[in-house]
Amino acid sequence: MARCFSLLFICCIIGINSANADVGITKSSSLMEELQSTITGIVTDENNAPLPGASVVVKGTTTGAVTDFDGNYSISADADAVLLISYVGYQTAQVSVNGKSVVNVGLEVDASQLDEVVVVGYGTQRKGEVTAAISTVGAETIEKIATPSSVDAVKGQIAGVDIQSDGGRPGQNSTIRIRGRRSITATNDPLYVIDGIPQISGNETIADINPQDIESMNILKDAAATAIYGSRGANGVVLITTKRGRVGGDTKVRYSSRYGVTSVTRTVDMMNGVEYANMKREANRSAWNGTIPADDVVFEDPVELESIALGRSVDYLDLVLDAGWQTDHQVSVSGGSEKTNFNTSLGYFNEQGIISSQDFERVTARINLDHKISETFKVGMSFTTSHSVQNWGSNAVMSEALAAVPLGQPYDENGELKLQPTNDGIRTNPLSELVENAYIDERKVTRIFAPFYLNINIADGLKWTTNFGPDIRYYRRGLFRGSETNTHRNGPPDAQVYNDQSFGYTLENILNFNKSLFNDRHNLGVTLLQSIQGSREEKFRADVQNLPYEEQLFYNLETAETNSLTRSSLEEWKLASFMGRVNYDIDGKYLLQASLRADGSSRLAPGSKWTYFPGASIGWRMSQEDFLVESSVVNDLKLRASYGEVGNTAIDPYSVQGTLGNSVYGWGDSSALGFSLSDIPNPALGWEISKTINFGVDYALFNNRINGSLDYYKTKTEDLLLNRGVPYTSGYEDALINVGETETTGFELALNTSILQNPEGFNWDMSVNFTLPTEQIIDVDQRDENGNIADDVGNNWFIGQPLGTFYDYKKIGIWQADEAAEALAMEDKVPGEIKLADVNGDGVITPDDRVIIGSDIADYFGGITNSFSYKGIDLSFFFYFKQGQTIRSRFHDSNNSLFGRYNNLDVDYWTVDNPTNASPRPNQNQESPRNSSTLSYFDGSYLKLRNVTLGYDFPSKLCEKLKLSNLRLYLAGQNLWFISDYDTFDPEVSEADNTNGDGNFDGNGVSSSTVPSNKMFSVGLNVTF
Amino acid sequence: MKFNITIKKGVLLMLVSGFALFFESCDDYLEEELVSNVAGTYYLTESGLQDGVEATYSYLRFFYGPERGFTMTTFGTDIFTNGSDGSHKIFNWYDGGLNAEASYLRDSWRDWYKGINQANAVINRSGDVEMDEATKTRWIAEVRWLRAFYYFDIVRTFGDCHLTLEETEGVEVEANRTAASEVYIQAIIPDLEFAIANLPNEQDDYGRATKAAAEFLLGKALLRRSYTSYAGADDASRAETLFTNVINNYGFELLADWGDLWDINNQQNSEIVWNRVVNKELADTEIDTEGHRGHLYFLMEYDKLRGMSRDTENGRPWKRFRPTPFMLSLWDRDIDTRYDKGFKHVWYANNEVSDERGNLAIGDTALYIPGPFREAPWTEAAKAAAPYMVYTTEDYTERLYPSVNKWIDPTRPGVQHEEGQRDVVLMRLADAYLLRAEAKLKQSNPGGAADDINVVRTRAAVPGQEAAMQITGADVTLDFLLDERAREVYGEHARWWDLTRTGKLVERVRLHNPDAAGNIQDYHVLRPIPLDQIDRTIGGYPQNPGYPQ
Repeated sequence: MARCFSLLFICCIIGINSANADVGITKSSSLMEELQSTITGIVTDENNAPLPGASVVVKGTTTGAVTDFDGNYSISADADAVLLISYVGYQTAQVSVNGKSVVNVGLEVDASQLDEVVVVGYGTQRKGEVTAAISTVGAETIEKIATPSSVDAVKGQIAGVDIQSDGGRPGQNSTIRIRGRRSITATNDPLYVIDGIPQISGNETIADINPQDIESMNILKDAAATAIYGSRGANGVVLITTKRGRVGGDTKVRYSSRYGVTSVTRTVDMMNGVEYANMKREANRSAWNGTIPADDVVFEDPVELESIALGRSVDYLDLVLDAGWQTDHQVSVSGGSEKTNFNTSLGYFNEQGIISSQDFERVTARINLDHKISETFKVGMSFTTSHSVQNWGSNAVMSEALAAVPLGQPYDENGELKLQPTNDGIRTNPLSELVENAYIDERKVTRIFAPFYLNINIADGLKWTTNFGPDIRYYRRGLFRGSETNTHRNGPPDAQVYNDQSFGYTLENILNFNKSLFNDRHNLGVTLLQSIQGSREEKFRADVQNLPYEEQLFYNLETAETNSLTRSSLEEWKLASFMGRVNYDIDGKYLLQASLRADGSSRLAPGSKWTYFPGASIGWRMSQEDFLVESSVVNDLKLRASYGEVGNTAIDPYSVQGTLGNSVYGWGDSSALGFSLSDIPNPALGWEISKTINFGVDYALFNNRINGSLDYYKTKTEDLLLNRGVPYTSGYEDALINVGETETTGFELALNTSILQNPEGFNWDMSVNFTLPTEQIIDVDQRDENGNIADDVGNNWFIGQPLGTFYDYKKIGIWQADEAAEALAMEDKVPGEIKLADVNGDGVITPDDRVIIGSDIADYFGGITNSFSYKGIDLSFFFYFKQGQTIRSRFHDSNNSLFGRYNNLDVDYWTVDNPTNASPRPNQNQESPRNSSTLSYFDGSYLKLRNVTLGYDFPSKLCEKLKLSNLRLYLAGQNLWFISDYDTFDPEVSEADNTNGDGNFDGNGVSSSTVPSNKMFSVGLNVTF
Repeated sequence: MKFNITIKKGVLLMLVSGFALFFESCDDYLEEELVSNVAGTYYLTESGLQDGVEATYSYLRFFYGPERGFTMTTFGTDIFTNGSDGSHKIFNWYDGGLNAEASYLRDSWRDWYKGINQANAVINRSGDVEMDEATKTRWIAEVRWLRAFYYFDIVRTFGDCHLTLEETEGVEVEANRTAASEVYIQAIIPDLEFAIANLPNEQDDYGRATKAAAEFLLGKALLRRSYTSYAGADDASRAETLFTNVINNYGFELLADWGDLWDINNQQNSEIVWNRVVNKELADTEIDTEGHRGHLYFLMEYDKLRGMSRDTENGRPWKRFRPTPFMLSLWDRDIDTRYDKGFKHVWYANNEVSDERGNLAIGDTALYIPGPFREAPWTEAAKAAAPYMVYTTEDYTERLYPSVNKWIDPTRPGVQHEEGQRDVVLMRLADAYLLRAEAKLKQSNPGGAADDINVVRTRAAVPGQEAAMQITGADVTLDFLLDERAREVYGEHARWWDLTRTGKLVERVRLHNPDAAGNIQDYHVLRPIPLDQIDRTIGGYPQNPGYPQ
């Protein structure tokens, strides 16, 4: 049956192509009849089977023919003509006639997909003609990784794109950085464009899209590509196109399903009962060389003494970390008639986290519909709705499981949970947080996103498109914290409801004009755009305390004794734009693109609202030149160069006006709520501009067995929107200003190779991507007394250093017993405390001894995928790596305090009998050791095995018997292994941030409340009818 | 086909004209309208200016009420040392950890300068506000009183400092270092003189600055200056006059019973000259995120003891401030009520217990601390025989010690709730008497000082022991006066400043605070300038002497 359909399909194509060919032949015969002879031949595929419906064109003319059922063609051409033979999915062949009358051609499968259409923003281009740095990821790659997040699915697979997730909470969003960071204060998040509509709220909106609905993800990296998005393109653009039905195809039903089990990737080494007891004894030593009191003095809690006597120890991490699971189901139906095509899908994802109170469930539904009203008018829409529920769980589960003393008892003698496993008033039982309905933090998102378009073919080559994209998002957080939780410790429960409703819209009018000139050797494309975009967001939040009964959760707030906070706010912004773009190429060899966009943003100061963003790129397709056109080595070679300017306006609305903050005071019986100065008004606030040059090469060699691209870029970002921490004597903590400059550069390599290629046997493909990024501050408008550019130490901004720099004292060891006098003189410390480097050698430790410790920017990162296949069996491994970044670990701040009161990482600490230089002496008089931050810097480099998949495609004969067109079964493992010096749950951590402008990088690293990342083994099934 | 082309043209025309129309309205489209917040121009209205005045008060609450203010005025003195918990013991120890990176110093410095800038802005913008001039003048007087308050706090904490009386406009990355003497001359004294001249005796809103509050504050400022190298000749006498005004002119009266001062239902009493007011509703709802948190810090760890668990009545014990042995020796409890009425003695069981010691029902005595000079009957045998626990001096630890009960707040909505509702007591009549006594002593008038001290002591006497409490001029020395202040205003944000004012900090800490004695140096009378200020100021900012430069 399947064959029957494909024949029908082929007939259709022949029909269409023949019609075109007739026109061509008629034309040419009238002009050049006498000079030409008839050439015939047969076109075959890679297996020497005839290819019906292949197109044969005489190069440089419109003369063409189409092969018949047996692959035969006949065409009139000069004796010295060159024939171009093309067929969908195959490389176009160029063959010289050389006076022959029979020219047989074997086509090769197109591995490089040069004719693949690339979405470039407000239009598409054939890949071979693209002159900007654009990376494309197809549906196959995206579907392979089991995750509800489409961003996560491409992690590590694209050169220049760094995606970091922060732990393993179900439904968690990742951070995506395209070509690093440019902006210190404004956002570094890219712009997402889904089905042509720029998204209004960044990373969050992408979470609502089912990865399995995605046809392709195109990442615009250089400024020539992103300049058409002007004000919002500075951080790169992610263009997502969803799957649509195909005209005239038969209706396809596809079902895919996956189930996986998850468990913690790696746990951490906390102290056990004996180790903890020893640490606590040491912490209670009367001085560094004093005596340790008797156990009944050190351990004032009887349960601790009892545990020591019994040799009892509790592993709380083991108690709270469980096995989780993930399941993912999707049904899609696609098809179409001549006039209408559609793709509908229904997706369901559910993940139970490895902490029992955390889960994420999402239902997505989509209808993509296209209808041709007439040859002139076409309409369509992409209707998406999604609903997700995330149970965030209590942060105290992890933080208490880490801090809880292993000598306590989580259960009493009756087997009931004890809220306080020891008599320490601060610590509570992590298991209490997991009791059903004890702690609920439920976050629901409902989204409707429904872009609609109208196409008008005004004339040949002239097309009008109007897009309207409403985007409605509704977020609700319900928080209930019961009495027996860490928050309340038997106090009365509280609750909160938070609603955030946003409505965004985009309206665009696009005029496209395409024309071939001068014997079709020159191609001109013009795009004109007018666009407006707006967003309106309303927030409302109510908090209450002292709920009378627990069962009501957050559904009956009015019964609370104390109705405390009610807040609401409104935030609106708008953007208006005009854009024009010209594409011009000669013979497909010399390529030019130029664009100019004008943007106006409501967020900026009057007079500074509008600006222009130019972009231009050129390309030279060397492989089309005569000297390479028949090369057997070089199949494709294109040199590209581009320049563009893009902006960043992602500051909070109303920053220009200098809003006042709420102030709180009270008189005896009435409140005195006032308005205090909070932001310094800046009436000159303007655009932050990034200027990028990019040089690139696209290559395909040895029959396309090696292909890929190489890019170098350099971005200068000027007039930074900078939230600068200012001296407190000014009465402000920080100020938003437009000064300074940063520079990022990078090399990016993408390489795909077919190492072994045996269609009937063993195949081995490898793809590699590699990025060498740099990031540095050029100027932050700080001058020294001589007027030279200077560091801004108070804000941790150092000239020539990356944006996220760690500046601190340097630990060189631990003060030893025989260095007591020196320790006192240099640092006012005693043996057993952290010894710092006296960098300036003045004999004392002062703030001048601080040095740059490192930055969170990697020296390089990338990924390697190896795929093997043999007949229907395929196996692939995907590794990714990141080298050279420093982690400032919040996790160690909390769990390596050596305070003797809470459990601790099992570190090598100093005692008078253990003169280590690793960690200082535990001390019950210090909640954390002096200069403890110096213990928390780590080399964050890692290598991770992200994915292993073993799949089997059932033979088509068997499928036919089962009346299926395709059946695939696979086993996959995810996050199975990593290696890193950063010995916690995971070295993959969020970036360091200093957004609050307090001059302190808050650290990156895992924190005590981070949910450990997990590994997963899953089994999956894809069926197509 | 022709029809079709017409349609096409029509649509095109429509779209193009839409395009053109849009051009016209572009500027309107991009206008930003502030709805859910207000911009700085709001201060140019009467209600805006009023909100600006209230905002100026709000910076008081970050120091007076939270742990920061208690820590910086209580730790490292002769009368309090550290309990077992907390991360700011450096303020008690004066060790190397007490340096420019201490967060409390940064936060205090920051909030006081925010308060000053807020005051400067209100003063600066008030000129353009059309409103009743009398009201406006009163508001300016309040704001200048607050500005003086903030400068006084900065000067007595850090010494020489940045001085500006102008609102910061634009980004200011420079800072001056003005001698403390100039801060008094240019800011504190003229502001308070203006306040005295323009503030009313009473305000409709309880907690606003009054004339008496301004006189009290100026008296305190002049008294402090009188000890310095840049003292004015008449500082002490002016201070005496100002305190006399406070004592005589406004009808303030000492409460008959010293213990009634700490009655949570009697906070607005006749003895209060001015308090940093906490509004209970705001504190309960956490709209006031600070409140009065003094109830947390002075309590010992009662909640782990036999028969006891944590409850709202007994408080949430954070074990920060522990009385030194010296402090516990200060009261003659036979004649003086101020230990007995300011400390907790008995805890009643809130958990039933049945063990080898016996049975405890809810409400039975679970723990008794007899306290100084009352321990004689409690031999080891007697303690062992009691059905409840008895703690005497040898049982005191960093976790278990006599607990100040002045700020206990059983009215909080929950046991974990940190924002207490008490007003922060900063100026009360008894303090005015003691300060006047000090001003008199400074003028070599110990007899007059004794008269004032006796007023305070008489009120504090055990009924019938008033005569025994009397002292004479011969008794009055600066040390006696500081002892008396310790007996009367302990835990009231006073001690560290009392000791630095009188130049007695180092001497008395070495004598009486064993945890700090080994470390404290002369330079510790000033706190180090916060590192963020130094790092962020163009060209740096000088550090106070003694600290790592």
